[in-house]
Amino acid sequence: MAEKRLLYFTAGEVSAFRWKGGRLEAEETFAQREEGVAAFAQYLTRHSAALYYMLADVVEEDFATDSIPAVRGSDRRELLARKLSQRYRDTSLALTLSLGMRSVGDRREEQMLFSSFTNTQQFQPWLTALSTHEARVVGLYSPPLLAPLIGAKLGHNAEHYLLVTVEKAGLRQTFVHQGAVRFSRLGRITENDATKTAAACAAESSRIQQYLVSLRILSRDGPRLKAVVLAPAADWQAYADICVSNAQIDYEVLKEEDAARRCGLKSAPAGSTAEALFLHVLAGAQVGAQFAADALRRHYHLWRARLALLTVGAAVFAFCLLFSGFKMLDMYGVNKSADADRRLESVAQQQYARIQATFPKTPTSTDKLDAIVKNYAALRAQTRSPEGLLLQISRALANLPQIEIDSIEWDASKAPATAQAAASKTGETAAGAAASGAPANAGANAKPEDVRQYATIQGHVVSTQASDFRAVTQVVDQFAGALRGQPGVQLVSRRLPFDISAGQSLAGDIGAARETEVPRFTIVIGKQGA
Amino acid sequence: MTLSGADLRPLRWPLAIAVLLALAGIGVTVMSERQLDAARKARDLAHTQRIAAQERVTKATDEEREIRQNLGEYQKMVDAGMVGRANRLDLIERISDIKKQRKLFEMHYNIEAQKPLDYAGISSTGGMDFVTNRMQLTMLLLHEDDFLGFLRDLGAGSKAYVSMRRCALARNATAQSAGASPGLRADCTIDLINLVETQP
Repeated sequence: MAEKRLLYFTAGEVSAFRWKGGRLEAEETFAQREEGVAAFAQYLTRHSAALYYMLADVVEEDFATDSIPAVRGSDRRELLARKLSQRYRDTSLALTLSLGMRSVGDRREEQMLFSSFTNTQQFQPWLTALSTHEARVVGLYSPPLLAPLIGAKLGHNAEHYLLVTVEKAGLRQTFVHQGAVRFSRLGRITENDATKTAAACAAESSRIQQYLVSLRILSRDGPRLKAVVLAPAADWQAYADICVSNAQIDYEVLKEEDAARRCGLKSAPAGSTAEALFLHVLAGAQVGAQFAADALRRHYHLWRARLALLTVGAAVFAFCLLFSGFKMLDMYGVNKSADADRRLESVAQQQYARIQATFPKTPTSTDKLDAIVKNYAALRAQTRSPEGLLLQISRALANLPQIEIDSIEWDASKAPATAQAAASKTGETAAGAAASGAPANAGANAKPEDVRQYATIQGHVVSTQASDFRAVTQVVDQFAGALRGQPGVQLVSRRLPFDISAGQSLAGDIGAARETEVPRFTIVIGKQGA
Repeated sequence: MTLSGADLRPLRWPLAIAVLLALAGIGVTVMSERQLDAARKARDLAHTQRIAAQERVTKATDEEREIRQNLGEYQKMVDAGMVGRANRLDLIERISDIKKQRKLFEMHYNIEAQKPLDYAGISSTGGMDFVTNRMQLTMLLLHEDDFLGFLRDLGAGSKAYVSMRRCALARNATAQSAGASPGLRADCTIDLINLVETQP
């Protein structure tokens, strides 16, 4: 964090202080002359990284209250700028301070405090030096702006009170109304005599009270004006003796050192007066209102922007690190769990190896042996013998002497063409067709138990004329029916010497023309399993 | 205060540092996230492997029983003489013996080159695999019983697994009506299967 340096402006000189942790140290004093400004410039060069708080304690400071319509945004800014320019010739060091809203009839108004240094020329050499050296000027303040803060720190929450302080610049009286400064006055102290200064305090306070009554800020019959007098500890008794409460003013005389301690000032330069308290409060608090224009505070704003950028970057980085830290913590737990699993797996493997050592010896690895046995089972599952099917054909022929078999083609390797055609007609699935036909037996994906055996039976009908369609059909149908009646046997196709279906043409001779022709037929049967 | 273009110039480095810090932070987060993911995957793998190893121990008894069963099956193959390369001379002699014993008519055979068995459900083990010697056999038979008897004898005595694939039985057109002449003709395709060691 940058060091805080405070510049105390008075009509005669500029004093530089260093503030750290509630301790105020005097550094240098520069006279209001050309040499002083030059020395000040060197001082700025030496402390280019510091933050500068300027406290101007001069007589030429004006306070005025006015009300403006309740407007917001750019309208309000323009209105306030116009009001300032109407009131002051030079608004380079001016400010506005809201004192709150009030209703006047149906209209809402905002009470404003307008304040400006009426002689800005005395600041110019110093402000120029600050700009030239790109000093980080936090702001230009005056003691009246800090008075409400001091009053609050000292526990004064009355509606209005007068803070009377003796500073290097003179005797300052600041009127605080409802927690905000209303006006302030700096009077000169001509003699270095506590009694005379205390008397001046009392006299000026009385004048201020009368002034406030005349402005109707205070009621003539109302409560007394509270006056808080900060007196040097050494002169406290003199102040207490002179500043005695009366019908108009209720004095409270506090020792400056006590007040400083209550405000958190740990140490102040020797010989300093109330300005040390103001400087301390200025360094320690965030005071919103100040006089400097943005141009003078540019390098402070840039510093803040840099700081904000770096802070945001660092915050994101820190957050990510923290997030990653949690992830790493999580990972530690995960790795621990994995290690435990690996240890248990290793134990189980050793245990299995011990058990495996007792297994019988195998001609090849157990996995391969298992695969070989499975292959052997698959081989056996699809090994077929024609014996069973031939026996079933023989049984079907037992009661049909009209049928004579010419040939039987038995096949367990692929389905006959008629079987494949029948399968496609009945809409068997590809797998089903494969199971019933060639692809299955050619090593496709069909299950071994699905492999079928087929028999294509070719024969002829004896004792019946070929032209006797009905008799031939009846005999062949009887044979087909007998085959179908055999366990597991399915009729795949049946082909007669003629086609009696309505979809085909049928021609023939009725008479003796076909007497010598033999009616031949073909029947294809299938059987799943052995 | 509104920042102008000139004001942005001195903010370049802080901005760059802030961006770098943010990127570094995001990078660290992404890296840690990835490492955590990898650790989780490794843990899941270790967990799965541990469960598998423990299950293997639990099932060791079953595995031993299965190995013994498999060995029994394998022994059957050994006993059947089908483990090892087929001896074609033995096979031819075996067919000749059956012909003599059953007093069969003439027979013609053709044994094709050995090749891997391609039946459904049979896959390569990479160590020992089934191979087949396909034989085309033509026989003239007196009747069906001769054919069936031949098949039974071939299956029982061959040092190979016999798998009949196709067989066409037809009346022998050249048969003489009188005497013991072959009434049937059989054209068969028979697979003679052996289990042999193969290169993995």
